[in-house]
Amino acid sequence: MLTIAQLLEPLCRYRTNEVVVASMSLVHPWTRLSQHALDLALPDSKMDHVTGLALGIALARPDRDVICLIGDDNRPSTPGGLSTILSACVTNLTLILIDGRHPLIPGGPSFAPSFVNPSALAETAGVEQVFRVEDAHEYAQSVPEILSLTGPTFIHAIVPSNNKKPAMKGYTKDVFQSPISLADSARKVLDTLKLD
Amino acid sequence: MGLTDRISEPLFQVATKHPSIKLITVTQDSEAFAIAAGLWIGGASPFVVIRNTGLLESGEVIRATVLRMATPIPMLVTGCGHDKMTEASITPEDLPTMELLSRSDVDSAAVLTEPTLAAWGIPFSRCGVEDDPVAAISQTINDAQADQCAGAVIMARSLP
Repeated sequence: MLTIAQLLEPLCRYRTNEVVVASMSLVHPWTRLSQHALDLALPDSKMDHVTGLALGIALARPDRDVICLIGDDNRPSTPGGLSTILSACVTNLTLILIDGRHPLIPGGPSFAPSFVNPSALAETAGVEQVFRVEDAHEYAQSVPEILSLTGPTFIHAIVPSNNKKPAMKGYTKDVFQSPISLADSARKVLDTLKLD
Repeated sequence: MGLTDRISEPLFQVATKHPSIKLITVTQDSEAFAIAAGLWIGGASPFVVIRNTGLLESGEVIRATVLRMATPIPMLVTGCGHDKMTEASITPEDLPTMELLSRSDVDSAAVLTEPTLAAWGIPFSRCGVEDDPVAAISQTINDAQADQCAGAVIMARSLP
């Protein structure tokens, strides 16, 4: 059993100076835990945008690890997206895919069951470091080691779906509204990285 | 970075051998814009080379990354089909009516390229057969840096 909080808390605890790109339903849970200068939230982005963006940062800054939190069953594991990541030969990129199909906001649409196995797809595509996690205790213990691996790393997090409990309890449609613009947020990360 | 076609192929060939340019190819056109935005955040200077058909496919990614993040990314959009437009006496200024877009002698991607860039608020120029492609590319890159705004050059000619 793994909840979103149990997925993100160990990551926040062990994260040091990695760039973290969060998307969709993981934006709010992550920002509640972390206000790091190298956090970049993309609440209204989707699918391969997020992994592409994270890949770009990883390519530009091979000295930095980049963690990409993919919400809403966003499936970067399409063969094309994984092919681009593998072809780029980055070793500093970790993709964490939440597989739970939570409704994004209370009353929002739930997601239809999927028969795609993202971790199997990632393995088949050629990603060497693939983890399928669903036990909170085991996962929490393995986070330091996972973060130290040479990537690309793919974590397929199984978070049980419960359509009556939205992923962002307590939040309503303001999930899409950030106090700062995405442009300012991107420039903040750019400026922070420049300081190195 | 991007995906090649018959117009941009010479550019990719040069980039492959260039000592300081890193060529990144993608599987799908739209990926190029997200990766370029990430490269910019990481402090690199991306230049996107994309097919005009790929530009049309990339609208949502451009909106969500390049435009929302105000990333000053220069891009070269190949103008495949411009020769057909010329042969059919159609100019890029002609309105993209259903009648025009459905004509068999017209490449609708070429017709829609400039109106699409205009609709997305991306400044652009067109490099025709009489123009210098090197100067046009340089200008696009310089303008994007100076204006801190994405910009495009439509390469409506072959490259040497």
